[in-house]
Amino acid sequence: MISSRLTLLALAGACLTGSCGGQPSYWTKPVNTTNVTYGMAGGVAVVDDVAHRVVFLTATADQELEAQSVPIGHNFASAATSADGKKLFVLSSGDWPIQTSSDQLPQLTVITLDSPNLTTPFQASVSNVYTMSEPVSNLAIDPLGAYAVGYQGSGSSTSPSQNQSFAQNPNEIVIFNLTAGAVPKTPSSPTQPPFAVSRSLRSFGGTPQQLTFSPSLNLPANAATAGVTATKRRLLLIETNIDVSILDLTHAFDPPVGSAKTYGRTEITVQLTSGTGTASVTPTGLVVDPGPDDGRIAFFTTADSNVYTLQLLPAPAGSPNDFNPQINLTDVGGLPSDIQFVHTDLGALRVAALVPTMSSAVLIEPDTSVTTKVALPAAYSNMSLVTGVVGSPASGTNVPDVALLWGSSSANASGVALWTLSTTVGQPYRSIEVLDIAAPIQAVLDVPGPLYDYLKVLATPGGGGDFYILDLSQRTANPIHTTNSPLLTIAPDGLRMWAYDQSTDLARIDFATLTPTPLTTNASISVVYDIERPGTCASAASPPRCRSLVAINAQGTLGATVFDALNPVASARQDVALLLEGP
Amino acid sequence: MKPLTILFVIAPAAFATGALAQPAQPALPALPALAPEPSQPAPSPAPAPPVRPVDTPPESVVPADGVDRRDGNWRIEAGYRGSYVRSSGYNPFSNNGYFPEFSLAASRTLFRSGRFSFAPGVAWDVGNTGATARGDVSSLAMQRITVSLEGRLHLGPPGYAYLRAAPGAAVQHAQIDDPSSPGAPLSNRQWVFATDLSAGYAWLVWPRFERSLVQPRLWLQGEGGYGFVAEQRLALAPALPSGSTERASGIDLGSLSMQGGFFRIAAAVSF
Repeated sequence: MISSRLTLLALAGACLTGSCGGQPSYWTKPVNTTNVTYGMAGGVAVVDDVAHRVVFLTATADQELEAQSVPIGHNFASAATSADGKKLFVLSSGDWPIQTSSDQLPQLTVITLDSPNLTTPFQASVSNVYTMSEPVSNLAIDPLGAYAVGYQGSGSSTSPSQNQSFAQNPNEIVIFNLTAGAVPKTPSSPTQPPFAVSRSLRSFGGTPQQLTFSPSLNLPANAATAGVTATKRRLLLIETNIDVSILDLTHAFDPPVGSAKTYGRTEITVQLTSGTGTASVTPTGLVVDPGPDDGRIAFFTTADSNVYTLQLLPAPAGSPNDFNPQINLTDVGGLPSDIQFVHTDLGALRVAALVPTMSSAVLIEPDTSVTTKVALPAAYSNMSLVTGVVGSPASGTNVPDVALLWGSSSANASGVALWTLSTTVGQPYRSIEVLDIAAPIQAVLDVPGPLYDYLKVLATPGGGGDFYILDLSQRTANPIHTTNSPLLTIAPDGLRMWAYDQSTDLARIDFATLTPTPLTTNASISVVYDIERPGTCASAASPPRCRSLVAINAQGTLGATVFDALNPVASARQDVALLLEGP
Repeated sequence: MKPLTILFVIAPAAFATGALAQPAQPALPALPALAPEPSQPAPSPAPAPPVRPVDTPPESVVPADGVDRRDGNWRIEAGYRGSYVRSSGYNPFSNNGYFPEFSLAASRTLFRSGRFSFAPGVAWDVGNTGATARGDVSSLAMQRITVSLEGRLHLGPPGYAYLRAAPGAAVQHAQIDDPSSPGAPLSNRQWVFATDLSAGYAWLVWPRFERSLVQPRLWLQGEGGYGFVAEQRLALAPALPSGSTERASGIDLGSLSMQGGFFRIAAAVSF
């Protein structure tokens, strides 16, 4: 009798013990804190994929962090910020493949982080959700804020493999119209025009690698000559691994015509591979002439010495597009490493190509393909135009460009050079000024205007301990010594920069004085963000926003150290376990 | 104390009864149980020996076979308690919402009336649990000290059923070790009000049938009920050393209430 009762008691206890319910998945799955932070104007966005949310960290006046949580779609794929830092675009794969009616479709979530005035805290809110019929892995954002494009390409490192389809079309792209207003909560189809359209790019074996949004162009070029009317147009230029496609974004949401099922006009594909040979070339370095009436595009490839220039001229009648590219190939004598559209004397348009193997640059007349070789003092491999900040003596619209040349393929200390592209007697340039710097230059960082846009920050390759602040107006390069190879971040207001290594050392360099202010944190620094915070502070910026520096520590469930960016002091506030608080 | 007293009284009484068969032995003056039989003639007068006067008769000299001494007066319990916590604040610390504890209790019967008795006592429950919270190692420990007020319904030889109310207090210590908080885990320690309400049954295991025998007895008992624990705010902060100049913010994991249904199985000794 006793034994039977004891057995019953033990069974009851065992059953109760085993039927207590499970811990929610929010707690059981570890947090991924690697490469999930995005700097925005008023805060730091942290993607918490396990909890299907983005946590926005905003700073308060006493250097505390406040967290706001905004839901996103299931299975994060990629994210990007708008050019002004006020919007975050989050691409998610959904519960793919869809198996039940409750499974979530792939989607793009647009989240706004903004403040109506200087003193109001930044508030995060979902401003739009676009659904898609197929998941895509990558995201490209129009710098002018009108479009976003999701594309599959060759996959993404951040896309979880368990949510990839068994079969995928790498040439599938989804175009989102960011100016079409709010998407209905219950769209009639997964991808609903005029908010988003999906299409498959015509492919000759290539897959999209790089997407470029053109500025507003009047197309077709030379319309008056052909007796047609040019209209403002935005283009999407898609570099695949074997060709280049041109897609008319302005007409991407036009309803299908006739028996066609695809929205918008057919894209134009510029094939780079000869139909008779097996050799393939991969386009790279695509640039668009900013002149609105020229309609020119240029690029080069990784495998031949040609520079390809295209002009979008009026198309023959009956073509799906009203422009058609006229292609010129120009041999520059060696593999180019960088190209730019430049203007020489009297506004003459040229394509400047750097050819490091010849330690020279080549100027190409785009219509005739006539080339002019310019010998350079070093094998410069990169070029950026600094015409607006060097105080060119000329004025008006026909100002010759000034290019900053830097980087050396031989990794020798070649410094930087300023190449003024006006012609003087006997030579195709007015001057090439070399600034000797005792280290190869790996990257040139721009300083936002308006106060110090004449400064450039020159980063040296990893292993070096110095970086340089180049003053284009004075032609000086001020070295800043660091004990370790630093990571560099320029403040969005252009008044200071931050150098840090991935331990606990940090320094603020004010561009007004170039004096470093050393700081330290208790936790290792993964990345830093210079963000706005509510309030008005004495600052050279306009408006005089207060600013905080958030040094992210990607260990555990994410920590951060917050400094006053304008007046940093050693005793900063440390926030820990930022993603541990409940959803 | 009462059973022991009775034992001491019974032993000399038995010994004295055997001595009466030896007529050569004079009566022991200190044996009050040998009172003269009223029916026998009075002995002839003799010089009075120095007999110590007997003031009061003894309570009893024979075991009362009708008295059931199996319940005893004192009772010590040790056992296992399992609680089911539904509070969302408990999720970071448990994979299954279950909280195990070791229980220790002592009580004394103060009042009896028929089949009912009342036994107050004290109880101590201690337990801890741990899990991983978003990849962090987490732990929660709790100690509960209560005053138990237990009413018993005696059902005869098998044992008794009881109702128990146990108000008291509990101290909870939550800790999460997050690598973003270097050198100091996030922790919180707090005293809160706690009360248990439960019902159970105690089975007499051994010895079961020697009902009048005064000796320790072993019991097994099972109990179920509901434990109330006041809600506390789980505001965890780095436990920085005193004098530290660091300014660190903590985290708020919401509210934790360790209340819920529980069961307890225990072994007890009564005497």
